[in-house]
Amino acid sequence: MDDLASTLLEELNCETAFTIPIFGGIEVAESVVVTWVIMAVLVVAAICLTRNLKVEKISKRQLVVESAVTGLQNLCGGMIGEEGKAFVPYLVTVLLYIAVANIIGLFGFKPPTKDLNVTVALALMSIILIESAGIHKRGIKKWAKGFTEPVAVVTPINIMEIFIRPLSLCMRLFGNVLGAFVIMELIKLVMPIGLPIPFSMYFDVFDGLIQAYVFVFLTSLFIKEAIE
Amino acid sequence: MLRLDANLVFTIINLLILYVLMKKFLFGPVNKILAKRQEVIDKQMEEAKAKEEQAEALRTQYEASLTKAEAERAKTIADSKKIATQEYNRILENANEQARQVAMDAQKQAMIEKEKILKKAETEIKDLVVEATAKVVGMQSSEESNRELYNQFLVKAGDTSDTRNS
Amino acid sequence: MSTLIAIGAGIAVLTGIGAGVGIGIATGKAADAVARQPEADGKISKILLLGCALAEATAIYGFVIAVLIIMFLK
Repeated sequence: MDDLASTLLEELNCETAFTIPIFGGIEVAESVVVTWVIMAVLVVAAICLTRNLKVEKISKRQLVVESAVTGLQNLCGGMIGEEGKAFVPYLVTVLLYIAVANIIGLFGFKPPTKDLNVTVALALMSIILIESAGIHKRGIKKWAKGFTEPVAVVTPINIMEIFIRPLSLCMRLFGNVLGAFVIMELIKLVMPIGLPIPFSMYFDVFDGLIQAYVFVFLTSLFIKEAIE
Repeated sequence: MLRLDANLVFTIINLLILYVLMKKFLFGPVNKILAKRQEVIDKQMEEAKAKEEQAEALRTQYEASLTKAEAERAKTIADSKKIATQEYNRILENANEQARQVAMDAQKQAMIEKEKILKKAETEIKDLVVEATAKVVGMQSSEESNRELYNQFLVKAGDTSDTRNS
Repeated sequence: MSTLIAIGAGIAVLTGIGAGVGIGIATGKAADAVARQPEADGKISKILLLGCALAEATAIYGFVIAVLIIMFLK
């Protein structure tokens, strides 16, 4: 039993991939390296897929790329509405990143979203985006005034929301991925062959995609609320 | 698992780089090609619309000319009908005239014939009567009485023929 | 000490009750909605999935807390 617990803990640890030998050594976590891999995969795939696009007589590859990109853009655009069109590329990028990051566990990598750093970074970016969108849209005075609405009493709650929203976003993503990871590791320890496949289908693929969608959905919902 | 350090900053930088790269390599080209296609489609639509308008104008023109031709045709038909009626009437009148002429001629001829026949019949009857009277009278009377009888008859016959002629 | 930790983790995982009830209610309502309007089942299932994912978050929070308790209070 102790053996199992220690193996689990070891699996859960975010290892340091390498150390940059400046400022007394900056440890670069595995999640950052995996993020680089994901970035490389996404960019190479994008470059390969969007090579020599044509206006007419399109190939099947181009058809797939076009329908996928327009589908993703419509998905995010539908959530954020007409006014937030400028945020659509960012949202689609985040969606793609989280989706790939969540299902990359299938290929033997540790999902980077299991690292709290990554989810906190995502949530921070989301909240910065939300508030800056609000400031940009309304002007700083109106934005600050917005905290006292609908009544002045709720101002602390409104200010707390700034911290609660990203916390909720990041913890939801982190907890889901971590939970899925722990359960998958337990299942793998119990029975490494065959049994993990259906569970992996649910926890890695389905749950990962759903969480990516939820993250983007909530972010776009908040942005929409901020710019209305 | 739970550690917050410089990797947070790295991740944010990574995500921003990813965003820029994706915008450059995925959304840029695809949206550009979509916009281009939209432009082409718009152009085609415009062209098609222009063509349609042209066709519509042509159709109107054609229709107008058709209407005109129709009117002309109708007029021609009416004219020729009128002429034909006139001709018909003329021919009919001619024919009527001729027929009347023929009928009149025939009547005249018939009258002349009748007169002739009557005259002939009169003479024949006169001769017959003379003969018959001569036969009847010749057996028992003289020449004078004969002549007197004859004259008497003549007077009578002349009367009768006069009354009939007048 | 480890007994107390185990009890604490167990209590933290009780948040699953809320998630279970929430998902149950959501699914029941979704079934109702589909029965009433079968042609809208695509939209309904999308909303249901989203709602379930959101409701599940509470259970996830509990799970995270439980894991943290076990790992940090050792």
